[in-house]
Amino acid sequence: MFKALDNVSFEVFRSEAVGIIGSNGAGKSTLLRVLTGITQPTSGTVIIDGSHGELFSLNATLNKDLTGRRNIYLYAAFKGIPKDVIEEKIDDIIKFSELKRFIDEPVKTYSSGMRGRLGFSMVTAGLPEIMFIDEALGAGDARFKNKCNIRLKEMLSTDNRTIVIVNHSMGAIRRLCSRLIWLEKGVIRMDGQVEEVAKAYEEYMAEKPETERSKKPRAGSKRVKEKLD
Amino acid sequence: MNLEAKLKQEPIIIAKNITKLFPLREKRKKTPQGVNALLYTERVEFQ
Repeated sequence: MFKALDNVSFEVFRSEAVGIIGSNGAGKSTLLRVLTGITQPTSGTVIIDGSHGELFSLNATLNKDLTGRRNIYLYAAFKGIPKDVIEEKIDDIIKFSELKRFIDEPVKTYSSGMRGRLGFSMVTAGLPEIMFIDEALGAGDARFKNKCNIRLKEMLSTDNRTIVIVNHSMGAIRRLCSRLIWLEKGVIRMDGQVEEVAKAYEEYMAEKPETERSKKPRAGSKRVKEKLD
Repeated sequence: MNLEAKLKQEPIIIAKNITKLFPLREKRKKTPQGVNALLYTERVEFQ
């Protein structure tokens, strides 16, 4: 058995922006999947007190054979947003995504950046009480990323929404988050103020060789022998 | 009490003692000597 998460406990409060950081294989995406109910934990409980929208893999959010417009309706139906509500918002979604010329083309003809723009626009349009984002904004250009950041900040300050975001870009994390949770090998290593946790994490990443960060040492390996000596 | 403190009273997400285990599946290959050599071990995502 592989233990992706090991006895992880924490609480998130309204209008907090929580960044989850950690090296590859630390359990960040598994944690977000457990929180959103996509996968069930082996043990432990998750209580979510509010509606939530999630932006994970863009290919999972969008149906490639449907047009951009149909995808917006499909997502709304999936989230239980009434048709009249989404019809009121669809022009804003299309405008924000900047895909007016392509909105009636199948999503399979879109570039990764265009998919990212459509996904972000439709997930945030419903103003979910909690937004879970897992590395989904990587494909967008700098201008659109900035636009997304402004919208996320508005959601936090004006609408009192809560954001839980996984991102490897410490710059983006610093700009958005008020708190960081550092996961390592499925365990919370640190939870606290952004600067404090980011500094400790960056020092750890700079000091430790790649093999120590993400791979378990194999019995008989040079490193284990050195440790034993 | 200010608005921020009021909003912060009740947590919106509570994660308590979450453990997630994934079964591992071994991929083996028969060698000319007839031994099943371990190629790699992969995580089983869906059960």
